[in-house]
Amino acid sequence: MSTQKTVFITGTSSGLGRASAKLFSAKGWRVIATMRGGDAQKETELSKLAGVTVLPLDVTDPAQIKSAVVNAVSLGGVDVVFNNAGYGMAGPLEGLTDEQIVRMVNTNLLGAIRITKAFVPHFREKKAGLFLTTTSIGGLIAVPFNSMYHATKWGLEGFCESMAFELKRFGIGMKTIEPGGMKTDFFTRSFDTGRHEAYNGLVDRVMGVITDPKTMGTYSTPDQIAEVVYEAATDNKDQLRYVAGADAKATYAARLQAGDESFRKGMDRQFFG
Amino acid sequence: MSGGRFTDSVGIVTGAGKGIGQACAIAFAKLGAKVVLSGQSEAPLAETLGAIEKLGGRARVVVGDVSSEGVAQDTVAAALKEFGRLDFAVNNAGISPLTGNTVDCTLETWQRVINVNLTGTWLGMKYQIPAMLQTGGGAIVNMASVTALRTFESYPPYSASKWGVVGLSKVTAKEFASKGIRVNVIGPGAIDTPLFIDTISTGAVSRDAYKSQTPMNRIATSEEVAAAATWLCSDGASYITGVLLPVEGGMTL
Repeated sequence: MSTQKTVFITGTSSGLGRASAKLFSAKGWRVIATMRGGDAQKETELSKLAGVTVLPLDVTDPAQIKSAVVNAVSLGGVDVVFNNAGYGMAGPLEGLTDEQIVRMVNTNLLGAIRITKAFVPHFREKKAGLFLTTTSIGGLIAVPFNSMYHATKWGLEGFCESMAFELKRFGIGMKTIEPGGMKTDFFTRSFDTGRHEAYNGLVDRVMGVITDPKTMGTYSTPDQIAEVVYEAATDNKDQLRYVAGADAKATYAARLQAGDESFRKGMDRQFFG
Repeated sequence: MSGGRFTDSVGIVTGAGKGIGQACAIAFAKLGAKVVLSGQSEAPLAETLGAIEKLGGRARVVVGDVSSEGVAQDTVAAALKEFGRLDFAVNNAGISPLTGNTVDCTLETWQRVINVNLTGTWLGMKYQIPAMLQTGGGAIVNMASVTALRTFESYPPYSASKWGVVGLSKVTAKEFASKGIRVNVIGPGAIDTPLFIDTISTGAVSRDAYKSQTPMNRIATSEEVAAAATWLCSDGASYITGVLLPVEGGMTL
Protein backbone atom coordinates (compact mmCIF):
# COMPACT_ATOMS: atom_id res chain seq x y z
CA MET A 1 0.00 0.00 0.00
CA SER A 2 1.25 3.42 -0.94
CA THR A 3 1.33 6.01 1.80
CA GLN A 4 1.16 8.81 -0.73
CA LYS A 5 -1.72 11.12 0.05
CA THR A 6 -4.08 12.80 -2.38
CA VAL A 7 -5.49 16.31 -2.28
CA PHE A 8 -8.37 17.54 -4.45
CA ILE A 9 -8.23 21.31 -5.04
CA THR A 10 -10.70 23.63 -6.74
CA GLY A 11 -9.81 26.92 -8.41
CA THR A 12 -6.25 26.01 -9.41
CA SER A 13 -5.95 28.24 -12.47
CA SER A 14 -4.51 31.07 -10.38
CA GLY A 15 -3.75 32.48 -6.94
CA LEU A 16 -3.89 30.37 -3.80
CA GLY A 17 -5.27 27.28 -5.54
CA ARG A 18 -2.42 27.23 -7.97
CA ALA A 19 0.23 27.90 -5.31
CA SER A 20 -1.24 25.12 -3.15
CA ALA A 21 -1.28 22.64 -6.03
CA LYS A 22 2.43 23.34 -6.60
CA LEU A 23 3.29 23.07 -2.90
CA PHE A 24 1.45 19.77 -2.32
CA SER A 25 3.07 18.38 -5.47
CA ALA A 26 6.52 19.46 -4.22
CA LYS A 27 5.79 17.74 -0.90
CA GLY A 28 5.15 14.46 -2.73
CA TRP A 29 1.36 14.43 -2.69
CA ARG A 30 -0.87 13.34 -5.52
CA VAL A 31 -2.80 16.43 -6.56
CA ILE A 32 -6.11 16.50 -8.39
CA ALA A 33 -6.11 20.09 -9.56
CA THR A 34 -9.46 21.28 -10.89
CA MET A 35 -10.29 24.41 -12.83
CA ARG A 36 -12.87 25.65 -15.26
CA GLY A 37 -12.37 24.72 -18.91
CA GLY A 38 -10.67 27.14 -21.25
CA ASP A 39 -7.56 27.57 -19.13
CA ALA A 40 -5.55 25.28 -21.37
CA GLN A 41 -2.19 26.95 -20.94
CA LYS A 42 -2.41 27.03 -17.15
CA GLU A 43 -3.61 23.46 -17.21
CA THR A 44 -0.64 22.22 -19.24
CA GLU A 45 1.76 23.98 -16.91
CA LEU A 46 0.25 22.33 -13.82
CA SER A 47 -0.12 18.87 -15.30
CA LYS A 48 3.64 18.77 -15.98
CA LEU A 49 4.29 18.78 -12.22
CA ALA A 50 4.90 15.49 -10.43
CA GLY A 51 1.74 13.70 -9.34
CA VAL A 52 -0.65 16.34 -10.68
CA THR A 53 -3.81 15.39 -12.57
CA VAL A 54 -5.89 18.24 -13.93
CA LEU A 55 -9.65 17.74 -14.11
CA PRO A 56 -12.15 20.22 -15.56
CA LEU A 57 -14.58 21.53 -12.98
CA ASP A 58 -16.89 24.51 -12.91
CA VAL A 59 -18.06 24.53 -9.28
CA THR A 60 -21.39 26.09 -10.32
CA ASP A 61 -22.26 22.95 -12.33
CA PRO A 62 -23.74 20.31 -9.98
CA ALA A 63 -23.50 17.51 -12.58
CA GLN A 64 -19.84 18.31 -13.26
CA ILE A 65 -19.15 18.20 -9.53
CA LYS A 66 -20.61 14.70 -9.39
CA SER A 67 -18.51 13.59 -12.38
CA ALA A 68 -15.34 15.08 -10.92
CA VAL A 69 -15.87 13.41 -7.54
CA VAL A 70 -16.58 9.97 -9.04
CA ASN A 71 -13.52 10.27 -11.28
CA ALA A 72 -11.30 11.60 -8.47
CA VAL A 73 -12.31 8.81 -6.08
CA SER A 74 -11.68 6.22 -8.81
CA LEU A 75 -8.15 7.58 -9.30
CA GLY A 76 -7.25 6.03 -5.95
CA GLY A 77 -9.25 7.88 -3.31
CA VAL A 78 -8.90 11.32 -1.81
CA ASP A 79 -7.54 12.30 1.62
CA VAL A 80 -7.96 16.08 1.62
CA VAL A 81 -10.49 18.23 -0.24
CA PHE A 82 -9.52 21.87 -0.54
CA ASN A 83 -12.55 24.02 -1.41
CA ASN A 84 -10.78 27.05 -2.74
CA ALA A 85 -12.55 28.30 -5.88
CA GLY A 86 -14.02 31.76 -5.43
CA TYR A 87 -13.86 35.36 -6.41
CA GLY A 88 -14.51 38.80 -4.99
CA MET A 89 -17.21 41.33 -5.72
CA ALA A 90 -17.46 44.96 -4.65
CA GLY A 91 -20.08 47.59 -5.10
CA PRO A 92 -23.22 48.81 -3.39
CA LEU A 93 -26.03 46.26 -3.32
CA GLU A 94 -28.17 48.58 -5.46
CA GLY A 95 -25.50 48.46 -8.15
CA LEU A 96 -25.44 44.65 -8.40
CA THR A 97 -27.67 42.75 -10.79
CA ASP A 98 -29.54 39.66 -9.69
CA GLU A 99 -27.32 37.62 -12.02
CA GLN A 100 -24.19 38.92 -10.27
CA ILE A 101 -25.66 38.07 -6.88
CA VAL A 102 -26.73 34.55 -7.90
CA ARG A 103 -23.41 33.84 -9.60
CA MET A 104 -21.50 34.88 -6.48
CA VAL A 105 -23.60 32.67 -4.19
CA ASN A 106 -23.41 29.77 -6.65
CA THR A 107 -19.63 29.94 -6.90
CA ASN A 108 -18.38 30.95 -3.46
CA LEU A 109 -20.99 29.33 -1.23
CA LEU A 110 -22.96 26.62 -3.03
CA GLY A 111 -19.88 25.42 -4.91
CA ALA A 112 -18.08 24.51 -1.68
CA ILE A 113 -21.25 23.09 -0.13
CA ARG A 114 -22.00 20.86 -3.12
CA ILE A 115 -18.43 19.58 -3.32
CA THR A 116 -18.43 18.85 0.40
CA LYS A 117 -21.72 16.99 0.10
CA ALA A 118 -20.41 14.97 -2.84
CA PHE A 119 -17.25 13.87 -0.97
CA VAL A 120 -18.77 13.12 2.45
CA PRO A 121 -19.91 9.57 1.54
CA HIS A 122 -16.35 8.71 0.42
CA PHE A 123 -14.85 10.07 3.65
CA ARG A 124 -17.55 8.51 5.83
CA GLU A 125 -16.85 5.13 4.28
CA LYS A 126 -13.11 5.54 4.97
CA LYS A 127 -13.78 6.97 8.45
CA ALA A 128 -11.14 9.53 7.53
CA GLY A 129 -10.64 12.62 5.43
CA LEU A 130 -10.31 16.36 5.78
CA PHE A 131 -12.08 19.31 4.23
CA LEU A 132 -10.25 22.62 3.98
CA THR A 133 -12.15 25.66 2.81
CA THR A 134 -10.77 29.05 1.83
CA THR A 135 -13.05 31.52 3.47
CA SER A 136 -11.29 34.84 4.07
CA ILE A 137 -10.62 37.32 6.80
CA GLY A 138 -13.76 38.65 5.08
CA GLY A 139 -15.60 35.74 6.70
CA LEU A 140 -14.74 37.08 10.14
CA ILE A 141 -14.99 40.84 9.63
CA ALA A 142 -16.78 43.05 7.11
CA VAL A 143 -15.83 46.13 5.11
CA PRO A 144 -18.27 48.43 3.33
CA PHE A 145 -19.48 47.75 -0.23
CA ASN A 146 -18.58 44.05 -0.24
CA SER A 147 -21.93 42.81 1.06
CA MET A 148 -22.37 39.82 -1.23
CA TYR A 149 -18.78 38.70 -0.87
CA HIS A 150 -19.15 38.80 2.91
CA ALA A 151 -22.52 37.05 2.70
CA THR A 152 -20.86 34.09 0.97
CA LYS A 153 -17.77 34.08 3.19
CA TRP A 154 -19.68 34.43 6.48
CA GLY A 155 -21.98 31.76 5.09
CA LEU A 156 -19.03 29.43 4.58
CA GLU A 157 -17.82 30.15 8.12
CA GLY A 158 -21.16 29.12 9.57
CA PHE A 159 -21.41 26.11 7.28
CA CYS A 160 -17.95 24.85 8.19
CA GLU A 161 -18.29 25.44 11.93
CA SER A 162 -21.54 23.47 11.96
CA MET A 163 -20.21 20.73 9.67
CA ALA A 164 -17.13 20.35 11.88
CA PHE A 165 -19.39 19.04 14.69
CA GLU A 166 -21.35 16.85 12.29
CA LEU A 167 -18.37 15.24 10.59
CA LYS A 168 -16.12 14.84 13.64
CA ARG A 169 -18.40 11.99 14.72
CA PHE A 170 -17.26 10.07 11.63
CA GLY A 171 -13.57 10.83 11.90
CA ILE A 172 -13.73 13.54 9.23
CA GLY A 173 -12.04 16.90 9.75
CA MET A 174 -13.30 20.33 8.70
CA LYS A 175 -11.04 23.38 8.71
CA THR A 176 -11.15 26.88 7.31
CA ILE A 177 -8.36 29.04 5.94
CA GLU A 178 -8.83 32.79 6.40
CA PRO A 179 -6.28 34.65 4.28
CA GLY A 180 -5.99 38.41 4.36
CA GLY A 181 -4.88 40.28 1.29
CA MET A 182 -2.79 38.37 -1.22
CA LYS A 183 -0.54 39.60 -3.98
CA THR A 184 -2.51 37.76 -6.66
CA ASP A 185 -4.60 38.83 -9.60
CA PHE A 186 -7.67 38.61 -7.30
CA PHE A 187 -8.55 42.30 -7.78
CA THR A 188 -8.35 42.04 -11.55
CA ARG A 189 -8.93 38.48 -12.71
CA SER A 190 -11.04 37.17 -9.84
CA PHE A 191 -13.15 40.24 -9.20
CA ASP A 192 -16.54 41.56 -10.19
CA THR A 193 -17.92 45.03 -9.49
CA GLY A 194 -21.15 46.94 -9.63
CA ARG A 195 -21.75 50.68 -9.50
CA HIS A 196 -24.65 52.93 -8.63
CA GLU A 197 -24.40 56.69 -8.97
CA ALA A 198 -25.87 57.45 -5.53
CA TYR A 199 -22.87 55.71 -3.95
CA ASN A 200 -20.00 56.70 -6.25
CA GLY A 201 -18.27 59.13 -3.89
CA LEU A 202 -18.57 56.78 -0.94
CA VAL A 203 -17.31 53.78 -2.91
CA ASP A 204 -14.28 55.70 -4.20
CA ARG A 205 -13.43 56.69 -0.66
CA VAL A 206 -13.67 53.10 0.63
CA MET A 207 -11.78 51.59 -2.31
CA GLY A 208 -9.10 54.25 -1.72
CA VAL A 209 -8.58 52.90 1.79
CA ILE A 210 -8.71 49.24 0.70
CA THR A 211 -6.28 49.65 -2.19
CA ASP A 212 -3.94 52.05 -0.37
CA PRO A 213 -0.39 50.95 -1.29
CA LYS A 214 0.48 51.04 2.41
CA THR A 215 -2.29 48.51 3.12
CA MET A 216 -1.43 46.38 0.11
CA GLY A 217 2.20 46.34 1.25
CA THR A 218 1.13 44.18 4.21
CA TYR A 219 -0.35 41.52 1.91
CA SER A 220 1.08 38.01 1.76
CA THR A 221 2.12 36.08 -1.31
CA PRO A 222 0.00 33.06 -2.36
CA ASP A 223 3.02 30.85 -1.56
CA GLN A 224 3.02 32.06 2.06
CA ILE A 225 -0.69 31.31 2.45
CA ALA A 226 -0.24 27.92 0.74
CA GLU A 227 2.19 27.03 3.55
CA VAL A 228 -0.65 27.58 6.03
CA VAL A 229 -2.95 25.40 3.90
CA TYR A 230 -0.34 22.65 3.96
CA GLU A 231 0.07 23.02 7.71
CA ALA A 232 -3.70 22.72 8.20
CA ALA A 233 -3.70 19.61 6.01
CA THR A 234 -0.97 17.87 7.96
CA ASP A 235 -0.87 19.07 11.61
CA ASN A 236 -3.56 16.64 12.88
CA LYS A 237 -4.84 19.35 15.22
CA ASP A 238 -8.43 19.74 16.33
CA GLN A 239 -8.52 23.34 15.12
CA LEU A 240 -11.18 24.96 12.96
CA ARG A 241 -9.70 28.30 11.87
CA TYR A 242 -6.36 29.09 10.29
CA VAL A 243 -6.17 32.86 9.98
CA ALA A 244 -3.34 33.36 7.50
CA GLY A 245 -1.13 36.37 6.79
CA ALA A 246 0.09 39.12 9.10
CA ASP A 247 -2.65 41.56 8.06
CA ALA A 248 -5.46 39.06 8.65
CA LYS A 249 -4.04 38.00 12.01
CA ALA A 250 -3.78 41.60 13.17
CA THR A 251 -7.30 42.44 12.00
CA TYR A 252 -8.88 39.38 13.60
CA ALA A 253 -6.97 39.93 16.85
CA ALA A 254 -8.23 43.52 16.88
CA ARG A 255 -11.81 42.35 16.47
CA LEU A 256 -11.55 39.79 19.25
CA GLN A 257 -9.90 42.29 21.56
CA ALA A 258 -12.29 45.16 20.87
CA GLY A 259 -15.47 43.13 20.72
CA ASP A 260 -17.96 43.27 17.83
CA GLU A 261 -19.55 46.64 18.45
CA SER A 262 -16.50 48.69 19.17
CA PHE A 263 -14.59 47.02 16.29
CA ARG A 264 -17.42 47.93 13.94
CA LYS A 265 -17.40 51.55 15.08
CA GLY A 266 -13.65 51.66 14.56
CA MET A 267 -14.03 50.33 10.99
CA ASP A 268 -16.67 52.96 10.26
CA ARG A 269 -14.31 55.71 11.42
CA GLN A 270 -11.45 54.23 9.41
CA PHE A 271 -13.45 54.31 6.17
CA PHE A 272 -15.68 57.36 6.58
CA GLY A 273 -13.85 59.49 9.18
CA MET B 1 -10.00 -2.01 -33.81
CA SER B 2 -8.83 -5.21 -35.42
CA GLY B 3 -10.32 -8.68 -35.35
CA GLY B 4 -13.20 -7.54 -33.21
CA ARG B 5 -10.90 -6.55 -30.38
CA PHE B 6 -10.96 -3.04 -28.98
CA THR B 7 -7.47 -2.57 -27.63
CA ASP B 8 -6.49 1.09 -28.09
CA SER B 9 -10.08 1.95 -28.94
CA VAL B 10 -12.04 4.60 -27.11
CA GLY B 11 -15.80 4.72 -26.85
CA ILE B 12 -18.79 6.32 -25.20
CA VAL B 13 -21.71 4.50 -23.64
CA THR B 14 -24.67 6.59 -22.49
CA GLY B 15 -26.99 5.33 -19.80
CA ALA B 16 -24.03 3.27 -18.60
CA GLY B 17 -25.07 2.97 -14.95
CA LYS B 18 -27.58 0.20 -15.36
CA GLY B 19 -28.97 -2.54 -17.56
CA ILE B 20 -27.97 -2.75 -21.20
CA GLY B 21 -25.72 0.33 -20.99
CA GLN B 22 -23.79 -1.10 -18.07
CA ALA B 23 -23.43 -4.46 -19.83
CA CYS B 24 -22.23 -2.73 -23.01
CA ALA B 25 -19.66 -0.63 -21.11
CA ILE B 26 -18.28 -3.69 -19.33
CA ALA B 27 -18.29 -5.79 -22.52
CA PHE B 28 -16.31 -3.17 -24.43
CA ALA B 29 -13.90 -2.78 -21.51
CA LYS B 30 -13.36 -6.55 -21.42
CA LEU B 31 -12.38 -6.34 -25.08
CA GLY B 32 -9.78 -3.70 -24.23
CA ALA B 33 -11.61 -0.46 -24.92
CA LYS B 34 -11.38 2.66 -22.79
CA VAL B 35 -14.87 3.91 -22.13
CA VAL B 36 -16.51 7.19 -21.14
CA LEU B 37 -19.62 6.40 -19.13
CA SER B 38 -22.46 8.87 -19.04
CA GLY B 39 -25.66 8.76 -17.06
CA GLN B 40 -28.03 10.78 -14.96
CA SER B 41 -26.84 9.85 -11.49
CA GLU B 42 -23.41 9.19 -10.11
CA ALA B 43 -23.94 6.15 -7.88
CA PRO B 44 -24.78 3.63 -10.65
CA LEU B 45 -22.00 5.08 -12.83
CA ALA B 46 -19.53 4.66 -9.98
CA GLU B 47 -20.61 1.01 -9.81
CA THR B 48 -19.94 0.47 -13.53
CA LEU B 49 -16.64 2.34 -13.23
CA GLY B 50 -15.66 0.14 -10.28
CA ALA B 51 -16.52 -3.03 -12.22
CA ILE B 52 -14.38 -1.90 -15.17
CA GLU B 53 -11.43 -0.94 -12.98
CA LYS B 54 -11.65 -4.30 -11.22
CA LEU B 55 -11.15 -5.89 -14.65
CA GLY B 56 -8.07 -3.70 -15.09
CA GLY B 57 -9.86 -1.47 -17.57
CA ARG B 58 -10.03 2.29 -17.76
CA ALA B 59 -13.08 4.51 -17.79
CA ARG B 60 -14.22 8.02 -16.98
CA VAL B 61 -17.58 9.24 -15.81
CA VAL B 62 -19.66 12.18 -17.02
CA VAL B 63 -22.80 12.80 -14.98
CA GLY B 64 -25.59 14.50 -16.86
CA ASP B 65 -28.73 14.31 -18.94
CA VAL B 66 -28.20 13.21 -22.57
CA SER B 67 -30.82 15.70 -23.72
CA SER B 68 -28.52 18.55 -22.64
CA GLU B 69 -26.25 19.83 -25.38
CA GLY B 70 -23.56 20.70 -22.82
CA VAL B 71 -23.50 17.14 -21.54
CA ALA B 72 -23.23 15.75 -25.07
CA GLN B 73 -20.23 18.03 -25.65
CA ASP B 74 -18.65 17.25 -22.26
CA THR B 75 -18.92 13.51 -22.90
CA VAL B 76 -17.08 13.72 -26.21
CA ALA B 77 -14.55 16.16 -24.71
CA ALA B 78 -13.86 13.67 -21.91
CA ALA B 79 -13.10 10.92 -24.46
CA LEU B 80 -10.74 13.15 -26.43
CA LYS B 81 -9.07 14.68 -23.40
CA GLU B 82 -8.67 11.58 -21.27
CA PHE B 83 -8.10 8.96 -23.93
CA GLY B 84 -7.11 10.96 -27.02
CA ARG B 85 -9.66 9.75 -29.57
CA LEU B 86 -13.14 8.43 -30.19
CA ASP B 87 -13.85 5.22 -32.12
CA PHE B 88 -17.30 4.09 -31.13
CA ALA B 89 -20.41 5.16 -29.27
CA VAL B 90 -23.47 3.38 -27.93
CA ASN B 91 -26.31 5.85 -27.53
CA ASN B 92 -28.31 3.82 -25.12
CA ALA B 93 -29.79 6.17 -22.51
CA GLY B 94 -33.55 5.99 -22.53
CA ILE B 95 -36.65 6.21 -20.41
CA SER B 96 -39.93 4.35 -20.72
CA PRO B 97 -42.60 5.71 -18.42
CA LEU B 98 -46.11 4.31 -18.65
CA THR B 99 -47.91 7.19 -20.31
CA GLY B 100 -51.39 5.91 -21.02
CA ASN B 101 -52.75 6.00 -24.55
CA THR B 102 -52.37 8.84 -27.04
CA VAL B 103 -55.24 10.77 -25.45
CA ASP B 104 -54.14 10.27 -21.85
CA CYS B 105 -50.43 11.03 -22.36
CA THR B 106 -49.53 14.49 -21.01
CA LEU B 107 -47.50 16.99 -23.01
CA GLU B 108 -44.88 17.05 -20.27
CA THR B 109 -44.32 13.29 -20.41
CA TRP B 110 -44.37 13.33 -24.21
CA GLN B 111 -41.66 15.98 -24.36
CA ARG B 112 -39.51 14.34 -21.69
CA VAL B 113 -39.50 10.97 -23.47
CA ILE B 114 -38.80 12.51 -26.88
CA ASN B 115 -36.04 14.68 -25.37
CA VAL B 116 -34.15 11.84 -23.73
CA ASN B 117 -34.70 9.03 -26.23
CA LEU B 118 -34.68 10.85 -29.55
CA THR B 119 -33.08 14.27 -29.05
CA GLY B 120 -30.47 12.68 -26.76
CA THR B 121 -29.51 10.21 -29.50
CA TRP B 122 -29.27 12.96 -32.10
CA LEU B 123 -27.22 15.24 -29.80
CA GLY B 124 -24.90 12.34 -29.06
CA MET B 125 -24.20 11.71 -32.74
CA LYS B 126 -23.97 15.43 -33.50
CA TYR B 127 -20.83 15.65 -31.34
CA GLN B 128 -19.52 12.08 -31.63
CA ILE B 129 -19.25 12.06 -35.42
CA PRO B 130 -16.88 15.06 -35.79
CA ALA B 131 -14.63 13.55 -33.10
CA MET B 132 -14.61 10.18 -34.91
CA LEU B 133 -13.83 11.86 -38.23
CA GLN B 134 -10.60 13.25 -36.70
CA THR B 135 -9.19 9.71 -36.77
CA GLY B 136 -10.81 8.53 -39.99
CA GLY B 137 -14.18 7.24 -38.83
CA GLY B 138 -15.94 5.09 -36.30
CA ALA B 139 -19.03 3.11 -35.45
CA ILE B 140 -22.21 4.11 -33.66
CA VAL B 141 -24.91 1.91 -32.21
CA ASN B 142 -28.18 3.53 -31.22
CA MET B 143 -30.49 1.64 -28.91
CA ALA B 144 -34.06 1.46 -30.17
CA SER B 145 -36.48 -1.27 -29.17
CA VAL B 146 -38.86 -3.87 -30.52
CA THR B 147 -41.38 -1.07 -30.15
CA ALA B 148 -39.86 0.27 -33.38
CA LEU B 149 -40.85 -2.98 -35.11
CA ARG B 150 -44.33 -3.60 -33.79
CA THR B 151 -46.91 -1.81 -31.67
CA PHE B 152 -47.24 -1.74 -27.91
CA GLU B 153 -50.23 0.06 -26.48
CA SER B 154 -49.87 2.72 -23.80
CA TYR B 155 -46.36 3.79 -24.78
CA PRO B 156 -47.00 6.32 -27.58
CA PRO B 157 -44.05 8.67 -26.97
CA TYR B 158 -41.69 5.76 -26.30
CA SER B 159 -42.72 4.10 -29.55
CA ALA B 160 -42.52 7.37 -31.47
CA SER B 161 -39.07 8.09 -30.04
CA LYS B 162 -37.78 4.63 -30.97
CA TRP B 163 -39.22 4.74 -34.51
CA GLY B 164 -37.58 8.16 -34.64
CA VAL B 165 -34.22 6.73 -33.57
CA VAL B 166 -34.43 4.20 -36.42
CA GLY B 167 -35.29 6.86 -39.01
CA LEU B 168 -32.61 9.22 -37.74
CA SER B 169 -30.00 6.46 -37.70
CA LYS B 170 -30.72 5.48 -41.30
CA VAL B 171 -30.39 9.09 -42.44
CA THR B 172 -27.14 9.56 -40.52
CA ALA B 173 -25.80 6.22 -41.78
CA LYS B 174 -26.33 7.36 -45.36
CA GLU B 175 -24.96 10.84 -44.77
CA PHE B 176 -21.66 9.60 -43.34
CA ALA B 177 -21.22 6.18 -45.01
CA SER B 178 -18.59 7.51 -47.41
CA LYS B 179 -16.69 9.15 -44.53
CA GLY B 180 -16.06 5.95 -42.60
CA ILE B 181 -18.85 6.27 -40.04
CA ARG B 182 -21.22 3.32 -39.60
CA VAL B 183 -24.50 3.79 -37.76
CA ASN B 184 -26.64 0.85 -36.75
CA VAL B 185 -29.56 0.26 -34.45
CA ILE B 186 -30.37 -2.52 -32.01
CA GLY B 187 -33.97 -3.36 -31.19
CA PRO B 188 -33.96 -5.23 -27.88
CA GLY B 189 -37.03 -7.20 -26.88
CA ALA B 190 -37.70 -8.38 -23.33
CA ILE B 191 -34.38 -7.98 -21.53
CA ASP B 192 -33.80 -8.31 -17.80
CA THR B 193 -32.95 -4.70 -16.97
CA PRO B 194 -34.09 -2.26 -14.27
CA LEU B 195 -36.05 -0.42 -17.00
CA PHE B 196 -37.84 -3.64 -17.97
CA ILE B 197 -38.59 -4.53 -14.34
CA ASP B 198 -39.95 -1.03 -13.88
CA THR B 199 -42.04 -1.42 -17.03
CA ILE B 200 -43.61 -4.72 -15.98
CA SER B 201 -44.26 -3.46 -12.45
CA THR B 202 -46.12 -0.36 -13.63
CA GLY B 203 -47.64 -1.65 -16.85
CA ALA B 204 -50.46 -4.00 -17.68
CA VAL B 205 -48.28 -6.68 -19.28
CA SER B 206 -46.64 -9.19 -16.94
CA ARG B 207 -43.25 -10.82 -17.14
CA ASP B 208 -44.88 -14.11 -18.16
CA ALA B 209 -46.86 -12.36 -20.87
CA TYR B 210 -43.65 -10.91 -22.36
CA LYS B 211 -42.09 -14.35 -22.14
CA SER B 212 -44.99 -16.00 -23.93
CA GLN B 213 -44.84 -13.34 -26.65
CA THR B 214 -41.22 -14.37 -27.25
CA PRO B 215 -40.81 -17.54 -29.37
CA MET B 216 -37.59 -18.40 -27.51
CA ASN B 217 -39.78 -18.33 -24.39
CA ARG B 218 -37.33 -16.53 -22.15
CA ILE B 219 -36.24 -13.07 -21.07
CA ALA B 220 -32.70 -12.25 -22.23
CA THR B 221 -29.80 -10.85 -20.25
CA SER B 222 -28.28 -7.44 -20.96
CA GLU B 223 -25.04 -9.20 -21.93
CA GLU B 224 -26.83 -10.74 -24.94
CA VAL B 225 -27.61 -7.23 -26.19
CA ALA B 226 -24.08 -6.04 -25.40
CA ALA B 227 -22.69 -8.86 -27.56
CA ALA B 228 -24.63 -7.46 -30.52
CA ALA B 229 -23.39 -3.93 -29.76
CA THR B 230 -19.73 -4.93 -29.60
CA TRP B 231 -20.08 -6.88 -32.83
CA LEU B 232 -21.78 -4.00 -34.66
CA CYS B 233 -18.96 -1.68 -33.54
CA SER B 234 -16.25 -4.16 -34.52
CA ASP B 235 -14.55 -4.69 -37.87
CA GLY B 236 -16.59 -7.87 -38.15
CA ALA B 237 -19.51 -5.63 -39.14
CA SER B 238 -17.40 -3.49 -41.47
CA TYR B 239 -19.89 -3.59 -44.38
CA ILE B 240 -23.00 -3.09 -42.30
CA THR B 241 -24.63 0.28 -41.83
CA GLY B 242 -28.12 1.63 -41.33
CA VAL B 243 -29.63 -1.65 -40.16
CA LEU B 244 -32.00 -2.30 -37.32
CA LEU B 245 -30.89 -5.54 -35.70
CA PRO B 246 -33.59 -7.06 -33.55
CA VAL B 247 -32.27 -8.80 -30.42
CA GLU B 248 -35.59 -10.13 -29.26
CA GLY B 249 -35.70 -13.95 -29.35
CA GLY B 250 -38.09 -13.84 -32.27
CA MET B 251 -40.66 -11.54 -30.65
CA THR B 252 -41.45 -9.71 -33.89
CA LEU B 253 -41.69 -12.79 -36.07
